[in-house]
Amino acid sequence: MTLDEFVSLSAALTGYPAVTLKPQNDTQQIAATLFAELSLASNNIPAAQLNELTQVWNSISATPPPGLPAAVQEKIIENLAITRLAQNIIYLWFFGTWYDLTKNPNSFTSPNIDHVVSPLAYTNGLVWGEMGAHPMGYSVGEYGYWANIPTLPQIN
Amino acid sequence: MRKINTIALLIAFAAVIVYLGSASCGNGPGGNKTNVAHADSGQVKTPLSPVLPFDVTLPPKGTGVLETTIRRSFDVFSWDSFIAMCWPAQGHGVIGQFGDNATVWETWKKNYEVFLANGLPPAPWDTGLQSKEANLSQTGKTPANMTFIFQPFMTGPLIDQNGQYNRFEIAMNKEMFDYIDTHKLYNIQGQQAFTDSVLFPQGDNTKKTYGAIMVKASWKVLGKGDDTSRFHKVKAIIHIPALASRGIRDSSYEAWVGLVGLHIGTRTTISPQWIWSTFEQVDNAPDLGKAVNGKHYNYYNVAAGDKALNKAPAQPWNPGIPGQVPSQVARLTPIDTGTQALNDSIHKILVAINPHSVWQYYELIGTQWPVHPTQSNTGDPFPVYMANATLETYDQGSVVNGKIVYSPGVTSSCIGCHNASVTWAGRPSDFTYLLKSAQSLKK
Amino acid sequence: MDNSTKQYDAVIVGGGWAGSALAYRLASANKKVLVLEAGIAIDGLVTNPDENQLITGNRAEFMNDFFMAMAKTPESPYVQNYNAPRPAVLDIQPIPPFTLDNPAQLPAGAPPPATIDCADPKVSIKNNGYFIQRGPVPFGSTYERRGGGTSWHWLGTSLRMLPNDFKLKTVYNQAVDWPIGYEDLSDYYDQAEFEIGVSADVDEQQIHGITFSEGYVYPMAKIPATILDNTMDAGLAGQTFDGSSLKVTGTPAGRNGVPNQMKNGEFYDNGRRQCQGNTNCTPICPIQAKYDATVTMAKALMTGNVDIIYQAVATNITLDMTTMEVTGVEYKTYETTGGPCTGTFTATGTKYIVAAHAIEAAKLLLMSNTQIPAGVANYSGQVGKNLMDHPMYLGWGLMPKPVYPFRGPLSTSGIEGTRDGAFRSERASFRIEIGNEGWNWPGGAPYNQVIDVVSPMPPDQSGTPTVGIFGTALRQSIQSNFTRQFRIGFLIEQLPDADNCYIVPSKTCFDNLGVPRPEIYYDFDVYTMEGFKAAAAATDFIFDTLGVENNTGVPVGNGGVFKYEGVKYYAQGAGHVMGTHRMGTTGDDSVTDANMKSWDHDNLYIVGCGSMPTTATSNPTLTMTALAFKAADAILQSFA
Ligand SMILES: Cc1cc2nc3c(=O)[nH]c(=O)nc-3n(C[C@H](O)[C@H](O)[C@H](O)COP(=O)(O)OP(=O)(O)OC[C@H]3O[C@@H](n4cnc5c(N)ncnc54)[C@H](O)[C@@H]3O)c2cc1C
Ligand code: SF4
Repeated sequence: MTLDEFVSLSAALTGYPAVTLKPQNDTQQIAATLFAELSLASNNIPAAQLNELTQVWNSISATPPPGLPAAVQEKIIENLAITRLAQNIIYLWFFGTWYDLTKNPNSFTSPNIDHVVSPLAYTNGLVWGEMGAHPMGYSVGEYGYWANIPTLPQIN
Repeated sequence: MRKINTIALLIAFAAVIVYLGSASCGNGPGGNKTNVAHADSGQVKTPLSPVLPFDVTLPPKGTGVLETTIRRSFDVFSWDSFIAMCWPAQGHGVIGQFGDNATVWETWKKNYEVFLANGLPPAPWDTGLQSKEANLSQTGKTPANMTFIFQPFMTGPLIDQNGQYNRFEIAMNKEMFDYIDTHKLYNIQGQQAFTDSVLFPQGDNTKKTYGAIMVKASWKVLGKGDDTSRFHKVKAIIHIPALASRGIRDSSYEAWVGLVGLHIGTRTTISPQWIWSTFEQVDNAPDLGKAVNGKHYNYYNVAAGDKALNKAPAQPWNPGIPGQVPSQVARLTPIDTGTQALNDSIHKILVAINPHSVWQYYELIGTQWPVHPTQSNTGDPFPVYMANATLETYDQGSVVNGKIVYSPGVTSSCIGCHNASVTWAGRPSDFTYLLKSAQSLKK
Repeated sequence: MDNSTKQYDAVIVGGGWAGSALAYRLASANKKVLVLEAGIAIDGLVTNPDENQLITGNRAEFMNDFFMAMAKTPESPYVQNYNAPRPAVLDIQPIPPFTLDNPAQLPAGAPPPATIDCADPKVSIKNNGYFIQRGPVPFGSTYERRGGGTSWHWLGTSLRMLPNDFKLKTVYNQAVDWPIGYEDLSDYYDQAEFEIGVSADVDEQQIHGITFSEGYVYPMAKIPATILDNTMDAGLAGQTFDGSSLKVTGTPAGRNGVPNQMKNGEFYDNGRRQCQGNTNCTPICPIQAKYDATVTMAKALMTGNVDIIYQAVATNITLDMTTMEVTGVEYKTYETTGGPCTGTFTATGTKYIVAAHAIEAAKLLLMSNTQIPAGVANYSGQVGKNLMDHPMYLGWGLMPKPVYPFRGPLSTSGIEGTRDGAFRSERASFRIEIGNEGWNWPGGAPYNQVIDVVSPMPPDQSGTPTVGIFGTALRQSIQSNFTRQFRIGFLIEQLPDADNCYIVPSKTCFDNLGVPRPEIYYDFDVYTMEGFKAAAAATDFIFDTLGVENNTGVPVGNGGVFKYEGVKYYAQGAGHVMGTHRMGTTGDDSVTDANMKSWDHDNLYIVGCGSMPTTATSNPTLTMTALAFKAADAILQSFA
């Protein structure tokens, strides 16, 4: 998978525009940081699974936007051979974490290779902004902001 | 390397020439009122200019690349600001023409001249402008009443190789001063009564207006081992606060101090989160693991080893205690190669003016600016982290198991940290902690 | 490391909260102080340049460890130190033979015999935790052992005790009275609030008979309430539970708000930043807007009158058997957090103060048994006894409308009406803390709920991939669910119980330095369990009143499970460890007098939350700081 493929696939999986995930003038290089997880040997990603995900994505990525989610649903999410890997890409973006592919992420059996990718991957996790909040431990809000109703990001 | 240097030189020249063209009337209110030097000094010709830039000049929209050309624009802005601010204050020639010179920014208002102990209004801008002697009584980078109690993790003293404490001072330009003065933000009551948002003036290229500029300077007491020809020097009154337990009495003495660090913060239209330029004297500290044997560093001793690297000194902190162990400082984030190339090219121009110019010994460490100013309060700063080894010595990041780690929200980032600054009324103070040094109006 | 040649006015064991407060007070009065701290140093808080060569930690490193931790527990920023270990919430599990499915039925008989393999201290601490839990229920609270102590991950809540809290015996015929009353502490509360830097509103805090000195204002104005606070306040207006008002009030917080002009005309300023709402007070405030003891320790060290030795674990207190005065504190040193002991030294001074945290302080006194078999300061037999906490009951649910959690300090308001009332002669009182961090504590939010919809757990709990939601549906689900999450937490009063709740130094399990680990016996009595029952009922009532979808169930931290009257409850630790060296009016049934001076040894003081005879319902540390200042005054007077 290339970085560009990763970003476009990520956009389809997260529901965020690609330019939000990899902005112009990218100060924090989050896309590149997360993408690197896919080639990290210690993550034990079966090569076949990654290849299949890449191929499937390339086969549907040109689908015009209105039909794309359905294609993703059918070809990726409902494809048990690759859905778990696709889910991990969602977690990379929403949490900045990588979950051991061999278990359910909500299972804490150990040892496992669950890990946070990097401090910036954590602070850029999408889940926080999605609910109008900020990552716990990192806020750029001003004093007392919590008394005001936040604007949630637009969902297209 | 050579090749890059030449290119950089050309770019630098080009940029400077643009300024010469665009700012022919060099008498802006934030600039130097006595900047006749450039025009009629006659003896020395230099592309360097005494005229402060209003704002950054960016590459045409859509053509810039963050890490190279856009960064270069901001770095050029930083150098142009530095040159103009360090231009001779009293109109004696051009910068460094006589080796060293008293500078423009040293005539600006110091924080203690603005925020008086009794909370009364400060004297008008042009009183005492020519005074050259710096009263350096602070031992933290923030104003005295903020550092009177030393804060772990915020700031600790920096101790040079001679066991001497660094001194710090803060100054502001007329635009910044006027804003504070007009809105009566110079005392606590004034700030509490001020219900608008604090928004300092911003420099603007089209309107040709200057923005607020604040300067934080860090100085070392010159002594054994220091090559004084490599520093901008002033004579200063050095204050030592009392420490009864060690028999130290409150006292002052005069000494020569050399400039080792300079932060310049400029508020502009393009960068409302301010542009943060930071300079250092070149002998301060090596990059991590790159110390050169036999070289004299201001804050590093090759023989001392790295176990206490970038750690705050032992307590109690008082400059009067004899025989204190020097800080052992290394720079964790090396200067960007493009920035370094620009440094080299400017140094050449400075040397061309005078091979003994002290200014050739100052380098730009970096410029931080908000890349997407409207995206959030902090505007997506780049570089993500930036630190001056003499001003954020202990917040540069940490070395954990030989790896450098940066912690968002803690590791030094000018914009990140200053975003949390507030007035005495608890409202955002537009990226400056300065207002917190205001005192209560004593009736 | 060897300071045995130097003579100090005072030797303090523990460089945490109480130790810092005492060091600062004594040093400011020009006393020479030595602090022994078991854990690692904090950058900038060393007094011997050589100490900079030891292990030091700093906020940036702790934040990095926090960011990189999968489970962001209170301990996550602070790496375990096997030579000065500390407990961790992840280790709290039912104690065999009890299990999650078959928990202890309380009140239980004798605690079950549990055998623990602790031959290899590091492995044992790593796998089973530091405490040797004897039950029947596990003790749920934790602490930190490093410079600054547990103040690193305290939340910041700084409530005063109620006048009736000092008189539980007199007013409700329960447990014991304190040897002092509210009026004895009132001035010290002012001082403690100044030192900590508390943000609150005097008018709002005048409840249940709490009074303030004439013209008093808190150092800083009250921290603004969150949307959740306001929603609950509006929804519960005028409501009562069991006769107690459910009014929502702002919680005094040891975190920086907007400075006030104080009674003396000065504007308060502690030089630290104003709270930015990082929502991370526990486990670590990234910008030190929240007070921690390193603030006070820095001031203590700045006087030049304090020496501090880190990586120095006090292990024995020695006595002059004729005068019964303390003659020294023996301590062990080490070079690395997993390395061997590097020496044993003795620190000497005129006065000795143990401020090592309730459990470690008691353990140290009991370990010091070579001259008196029962241990130092233990004529009463009460050392280590009466271990108490504010066991917590959590309730959580979804509000009908968004309340936008995960914003602002972790808790900004609470319900205090339930802290006192006639019911206290029957059941435990409690205060209700309103949490601003959604289901983070009970439910591992946001992680667990997002995973639930993206990778639903298959029925067989296996790792088989399952089909979940993604993209727009996922985003919508996050927006609609997480914005409505909230939880409340009940801090339940616990009474002293010398027979069933106590700690002893283990005879069989040791840490890496060879120091005995704390063996803990812990139980809830009917009074406290009735408190749990009332808390559950109050949750139902509050949720019904507010129209909340009640999701209270099994929390992620479920190790504190017990059964009472056939109902399962999941107790959480509050981190409020009290009672283990309680003060009192006589040496027969208490360890110290009201100045925290040992009844048995004239130059020994024992200071901390362990001094508290009963728990009240207020988070204890403001009161503990007031007590530390009271002890400091007594110590200074004893020099005169
Ligand atoms: C998650 C959590 C949240 C909390 N929130 C609140 C709150 O909101 N409000 C509130 O009032 N309280 C709160 N607390 C409680 C508060 O943190 C403690 O009451 C307080 O820190 C106790 O102070 P101390 O000085 O007794 O102990 P500590 O602060 O723990 O200091 C003890 C020190 O002694 C050292 N030490 C231990 N053993 C030895 C030895 N043998 N030799 C030498 N040194 C030793 C330790 O390393 C440590 O530094 C919270 C606690 C936790 C765990
Ligand atoms: S809310 Fe954030 S800034 Fe405020 S005290 Fe808590 S962690 Fe610190």
